[in-house]
Amino acid sequence: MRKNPSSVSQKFFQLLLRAFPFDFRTNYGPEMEDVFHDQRREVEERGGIMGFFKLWAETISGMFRTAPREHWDIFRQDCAYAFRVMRANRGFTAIAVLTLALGIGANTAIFSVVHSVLLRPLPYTQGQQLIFIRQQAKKANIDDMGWSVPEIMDFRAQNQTLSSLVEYHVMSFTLFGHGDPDRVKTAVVSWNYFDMFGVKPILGRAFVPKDDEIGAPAVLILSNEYWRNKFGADPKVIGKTFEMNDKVHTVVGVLPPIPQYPLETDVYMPTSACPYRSSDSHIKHREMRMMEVFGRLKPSVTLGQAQADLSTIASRLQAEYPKFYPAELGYGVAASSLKTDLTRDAQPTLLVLLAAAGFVLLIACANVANLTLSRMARRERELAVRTALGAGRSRLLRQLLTESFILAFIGGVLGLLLAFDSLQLLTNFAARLSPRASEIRIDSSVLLFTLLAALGTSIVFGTVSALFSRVNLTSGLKEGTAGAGQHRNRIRSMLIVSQVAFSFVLLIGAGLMLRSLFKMLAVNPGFKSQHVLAMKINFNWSKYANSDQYAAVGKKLVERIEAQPGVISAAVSSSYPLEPELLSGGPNSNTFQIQGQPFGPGEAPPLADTVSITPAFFRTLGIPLINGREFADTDNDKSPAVVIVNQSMQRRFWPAGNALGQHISFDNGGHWLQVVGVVADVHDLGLDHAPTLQAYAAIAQFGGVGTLVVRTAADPAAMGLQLTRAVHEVDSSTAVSQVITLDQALSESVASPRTTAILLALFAGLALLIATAGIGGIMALTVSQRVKEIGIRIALGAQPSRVLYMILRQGVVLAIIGVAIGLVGALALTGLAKSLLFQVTPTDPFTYAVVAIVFIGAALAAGYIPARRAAAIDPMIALRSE
Amino acid sequence: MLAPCLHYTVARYSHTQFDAVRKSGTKVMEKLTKSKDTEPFLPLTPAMFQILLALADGNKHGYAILKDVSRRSEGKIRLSAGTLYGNLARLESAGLIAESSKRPELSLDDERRRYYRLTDLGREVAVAEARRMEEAIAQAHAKHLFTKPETA
Repeated sequence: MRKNPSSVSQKFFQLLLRAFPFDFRTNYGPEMEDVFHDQRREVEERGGIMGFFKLWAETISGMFRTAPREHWDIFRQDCAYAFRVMRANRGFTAIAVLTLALGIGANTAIFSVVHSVLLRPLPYTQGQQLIFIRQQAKKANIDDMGWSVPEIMDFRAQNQTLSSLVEYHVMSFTLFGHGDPDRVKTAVVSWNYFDMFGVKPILGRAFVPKDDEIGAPAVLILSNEYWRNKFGADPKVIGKTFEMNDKVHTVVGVLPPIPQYPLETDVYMPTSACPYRSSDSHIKHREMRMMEVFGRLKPSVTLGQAQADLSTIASRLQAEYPKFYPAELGYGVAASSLKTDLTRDAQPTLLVLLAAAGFVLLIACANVANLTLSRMARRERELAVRTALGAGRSRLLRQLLTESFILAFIGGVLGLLLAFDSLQLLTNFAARLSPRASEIRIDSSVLLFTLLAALGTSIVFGTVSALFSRVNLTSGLKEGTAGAGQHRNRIRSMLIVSQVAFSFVLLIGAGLMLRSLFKMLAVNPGFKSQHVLAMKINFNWSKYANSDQYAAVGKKLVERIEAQPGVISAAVSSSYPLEPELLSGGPNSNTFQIQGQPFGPGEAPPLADTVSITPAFFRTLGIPLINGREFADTDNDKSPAVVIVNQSMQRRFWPAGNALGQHISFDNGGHWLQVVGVVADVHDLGLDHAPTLQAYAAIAQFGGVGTLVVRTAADPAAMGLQLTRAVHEVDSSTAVSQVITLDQALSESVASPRTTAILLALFAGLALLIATAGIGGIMALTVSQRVKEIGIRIALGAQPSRVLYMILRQGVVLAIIGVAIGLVGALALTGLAKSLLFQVTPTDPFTYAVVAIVFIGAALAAGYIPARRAAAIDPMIALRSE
Repeated sequence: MLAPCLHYTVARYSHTQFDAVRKSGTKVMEKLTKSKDTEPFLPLTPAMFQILLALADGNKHGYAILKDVSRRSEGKIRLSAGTLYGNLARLESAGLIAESSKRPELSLDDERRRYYRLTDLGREVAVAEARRMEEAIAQAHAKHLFTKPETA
């Protein structure tokens, strides 16, 4: 009657049995084996291979029809039971769900940003083939020197590795014929720009080769957003005409709602329509560089191959035109994947935030595990009774895991709601880091991530609590035994220590970011930002043919503005410090030379950021004049060319401080400008950027009207309308945009580090709160477990202060161990955030000391209430209690 | 006689039964023994009904039930080890069948095999199911379902 247990069939059958739940298998497994054995013997007796196959087919299909049902039944029962338990412990459930919601929510939110910005492929056809190509002058430290038309033509004609190469630059033009003159951000692109990205207009057509020919009728394609905002998504917009740069422009297409790289612009025009790009000086001159270049790799060409190909062309050009690519510049070409390029700034910040969110989740796990453990203490008897009634250990584990999963699942759903809520905030934040921010959304991958986070979380805290709740039958059933309790207290202490350690790392990270932010804010920007209003002004350029006329209208404008009540002084300039467009677009840098200081052989010419200004610029911004004089109205076209330099420049080239009267040239010695003044350094590119070499030229001599800055007596923010009106009184065709106070510009310039610091501080604060609550909780528990012992101590004459100290010490010891472990972790991890820090090292002793003190202080505070209760124990009541 | 049965059920669905025991003491046993409403169990699946029928004329172990069902249905209802014990588990936890303490004589007994018997409730449910089918057949007759309608 006994079967042969080692037969292959029997082994395989035993394997199949594993599909059933453990308890089912234990109960029925041996019988099922017997039945199968009998069936098999019967088939063998009858003979024939078909019967054998039929038996196996029926057996396997039967297993897979029955087993899932058994699992599902158990899951349903476990769920029903878990909900009953949760209803009975409302406080525990609420705290656990809330903690998990915060942890999972933070991760979901940050992951949605990381996924959209860093992970997802670009939303273009074959986005991985798109590349960004830069011309660089490495020796002169120029990362991106732009492209001129002849260079684009050469690279387009000579490359072997790209299927297309397109150019791009952004200009602001004034568009007439639709209400007020409208300043539109215009991208000027090659005709095949949209074809290369694989974007098809939703209305009208894309550009065609004919549009690119010089002299072709000017055409426009509207961005989807501009079309919606300005034209109410009117489908009849195709064929409408507008006046721009004194030419009639016809709308031929509308783009679909796609993220626009590298910049969001209002309209697109072909190269022939841009008055600058199509001018002779740009088409013919190799050094008129203002374009960006994108390319698409031919199929199966790697980035490395393209790089080699483009470098070959670069060296060919260098040999052919040595005048334009002097050896001392270190000229070269760099190709990078468009995706990498668009996310370079965002990567370190986002990864730090993701790590921080991960820590918060771990701390939340430890906290919930701790809560579960203390609840286990109360459920010990119940579990012991169930074990006594025959529930297997794995069955109990399964039940506990189901309970944790339900908690984590509800936490996950709440977390998802939190993430939805914070999405707009995060999108605004990420927009400062990457143009991909507009793609951020919660999609199926994010939902999957949340589900996995909830599942992982429940497994972590569920297993921890289940493994350490060793159900000891005898001690569990007896009232008030301490063995399992002490074991559990040890585990709880370990969990507390790990929470403290993780929170410490987070708090150090946040502390470093905050300290870095404060250091940044403490930087003297070099100008007085209070009471200054700034705005972008764009004259209708075609009305002003030469710099004389520019100078005249600039002067008229300043006079009109200064005549306004409440205005102290006003100036026109090409840009102002910390101007948002200056920060995103980079400064106007020019190479220069100094009379009497020739370069050494192979030395790169120095670079200066140049700004054109009217005389009152320094006065208006409160930039101190160190030496010499400001510009005056007498510095004009007819008088000798003059320049004002900053202190950095004087320090570098005239260390003796005798810059006044010296001459510098920005055109290889063609014209020499005399230095008439030295001003203090200004952090014009950001408080965390060291001041560069700066040179100021007079608008009356060189042109360059772009912005208006006004110092006011009263609140500058209230004067925007009045001043805009004054500008329009001078020339009604002038577009005024980006009216902001300099205080706003200053605050905006540190918005990204500020948001990072705030988010990290938020995470760290949350972690500190959870860890402190954990310490307080475990100490309250110990006090209640030790009531009798403390009562005896007091009865025997222990001073209350002594008891207080004894209890406090326990909490502080946990905190100190946690801080010590966290210290090691922080030293290992904060190096990753180095690139985000300004004037603070990742091992900044001050931050570490403050955070450690905060932690130990928090532990003291958390332990104080239970310690006070311990010290106030009345020995009579304590001893009578059991 | 009830003890092993109770132990068995509690082991499988421990907490539900545990809770029930804690809440209402003997109710579980009443549920397992006393006759009660058969309505919630109907209709039975063909496999369940056949298993109950197989036990109607005596206690059987798993393989014997399988053979009996196969023989009576002339091979139409084929149970495999998995489907058989899935159904047995369900019937057992519903209290329609129970493990029998009566064993066959020693020479024929395989100690690993459990014998199953029909409980009183199980018998009532099987009867109710058979009545339900009988009624259905009667109604089918009344509607002349079996006589071919004459085509006009």
